[in-house]
Amino acid sequence: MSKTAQKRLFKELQQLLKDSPEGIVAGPRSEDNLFLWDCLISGPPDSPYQGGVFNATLEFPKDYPLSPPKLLFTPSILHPNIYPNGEVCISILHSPGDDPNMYELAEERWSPVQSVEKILLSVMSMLSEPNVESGANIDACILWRDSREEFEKQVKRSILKSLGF
Amino acid sequence: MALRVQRRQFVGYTVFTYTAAAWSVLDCLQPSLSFLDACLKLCEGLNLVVLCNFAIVNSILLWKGLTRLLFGELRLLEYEHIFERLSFTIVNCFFMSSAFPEYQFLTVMILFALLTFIRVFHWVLKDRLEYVFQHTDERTNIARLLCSRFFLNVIIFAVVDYQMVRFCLRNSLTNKHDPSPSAPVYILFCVDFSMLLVDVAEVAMKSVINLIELIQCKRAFERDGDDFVGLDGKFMYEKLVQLVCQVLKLGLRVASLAPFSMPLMIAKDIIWDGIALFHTGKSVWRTWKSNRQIDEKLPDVTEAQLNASEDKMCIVCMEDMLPPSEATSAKHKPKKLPCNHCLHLGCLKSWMERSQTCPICRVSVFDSKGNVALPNQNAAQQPISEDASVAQQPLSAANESNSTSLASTHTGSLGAVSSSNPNFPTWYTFPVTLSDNDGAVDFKVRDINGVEINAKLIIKKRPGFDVPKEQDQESQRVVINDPPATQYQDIERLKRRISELENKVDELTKKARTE
Repeated sequence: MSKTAQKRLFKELQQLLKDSPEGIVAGPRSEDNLFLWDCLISGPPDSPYQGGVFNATLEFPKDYPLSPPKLLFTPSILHPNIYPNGEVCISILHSPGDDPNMYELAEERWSPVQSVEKILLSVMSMLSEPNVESGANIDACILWRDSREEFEKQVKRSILKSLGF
Repeated sequence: MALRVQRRQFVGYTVFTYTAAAWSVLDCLQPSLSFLDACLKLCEGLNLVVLCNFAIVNSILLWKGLTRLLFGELRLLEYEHIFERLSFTIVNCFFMSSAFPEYQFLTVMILFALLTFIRVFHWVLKDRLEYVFQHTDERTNIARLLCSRFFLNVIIFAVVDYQMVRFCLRNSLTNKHDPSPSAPVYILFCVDFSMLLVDVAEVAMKSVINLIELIQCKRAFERDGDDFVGLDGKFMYEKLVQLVCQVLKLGLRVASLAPFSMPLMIAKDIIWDGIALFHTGKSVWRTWKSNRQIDEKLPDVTEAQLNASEDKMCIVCMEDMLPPSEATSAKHKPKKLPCNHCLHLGCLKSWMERSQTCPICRVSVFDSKGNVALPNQNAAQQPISEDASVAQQPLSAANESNSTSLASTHTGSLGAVSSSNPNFPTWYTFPVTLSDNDGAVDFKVRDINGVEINAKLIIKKRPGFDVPKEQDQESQRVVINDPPATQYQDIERLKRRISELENKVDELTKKARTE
């Protein structure tokens, strides 16, 4: 149960400390609970999110590498694939068993090969290229599709606000 | 912000409802001669609407208060589940109520309201189970956990359901001899409430399983045992509990149908329960079978094989695999899947409970008959159609742009055959030629004895991909040359790009058609 998960999370943490990819910082919030991580994700260049730094929490289940963790942006950001409450909706974070709308292929969903690093990298690629087909935030989807400029303006404004300007 | 506005609106609406109700009662009472007269006035026209609204607002208030009392703050997931199921349940209620005669309308309606109310709480209870045990670890105080709100709720609901079942049963029995037969109504509700009782029993049994695991975990922690990985076959037990409960439910439904003249509406529920039972049964059977097969049928990884591969890490626990002779327990024995990936037996077992595929390349471990699939070096020597080959190569995404990438690399090396024999190199490459007529690819492979085998790779294009190119839409080509297996992100991105392009093409065709 939790022992395997703890060991694996510790290994992943070690790996991340050794060489973490550019634009990503992640680690457990406190030493005695490895199941809750804080992450900082920098907005990918050449996207509306460029220049922003976004805070997110990763919540791991007890049977971690077998079930996917949950990624929550705190505070939430405007993006077609992020729910208004901050929850990220990408296929690799969905467990292989449940297929709510028969939309995703099995090979796109969670498997133990994924890791914190890979999740955060796919989140970065999601930030630069939203998938409007399976949107989580309908308003953001419409805005992104119909008036890209307005979308970018709103994102820029929220980034500036989050940085304290 | 929006929440505060909503709350203020709701408070305003509640105040309005109460004043309206008070006004309509006063309005009816004052000019009336008798109580009966006032009641009659209250039951017609606008007054009825006002009173209904009053009842609805009050039930919402009651619901809010009770959830706060029983569960505390509800999670988003629980809200979502409630709203998902509520509309269907209510519509179902109205259908059912139409099946009974008019003079029973009030009884049916009151019972339905009660049933729906209690049922919603059961949904929340079911969702809570997982949440409660998610937040336990070896330091959790079990006595305190047992006294927590969750277990109290289980007991409360069990008592409430039991009382309701008894009440309905008594009513149905006494009314049996009456000239006005309202027995079917009570029998129906009796069955419905006993379903809820079964639900509570399911939650209770699952929590017992979880508690047992927790106790074992605590013991292992005290003994300082480092490798406690959870209750063996916990998943299986949980599934079995589910199966038993579903059988019980189906049995109850059928039993209620047999002796009485029930509305045919129940047949729908029976079919639904039957389907659910079938699915659970199937998954239990499959898990059980695969669990038995994993150990017997999958080959152990020998020491030589383990040394030959540069990566000895088990992908699930991220620890190095030791040869079977050195493994400390059966769970740490390395096993080889048909796709030549290796994992610990314990890790593999727990993953197979969730998905029957290799966690690394998603090749299914068992074939359609439930036997262990053949290792894929055999498959590569026969003519392959895409359906088979895609599943066996992890980078199936590359095939989405297959025709272009093959064409551009057909003089180079492409294709791979992996070998389980450690004395031979793990990967072969071989030249391929593009045959002109049907878009297939021919290639030759030599087996170990040097016998040449002609093989043909047929690639089916995705349907709808070759839409005639429109106006300014230049054909975009995505060529992937032998991408390394780790770059899932790139593939994901490319897939998105492709689907975007497909959409664009679709849009353009539509536009062209309308013009």
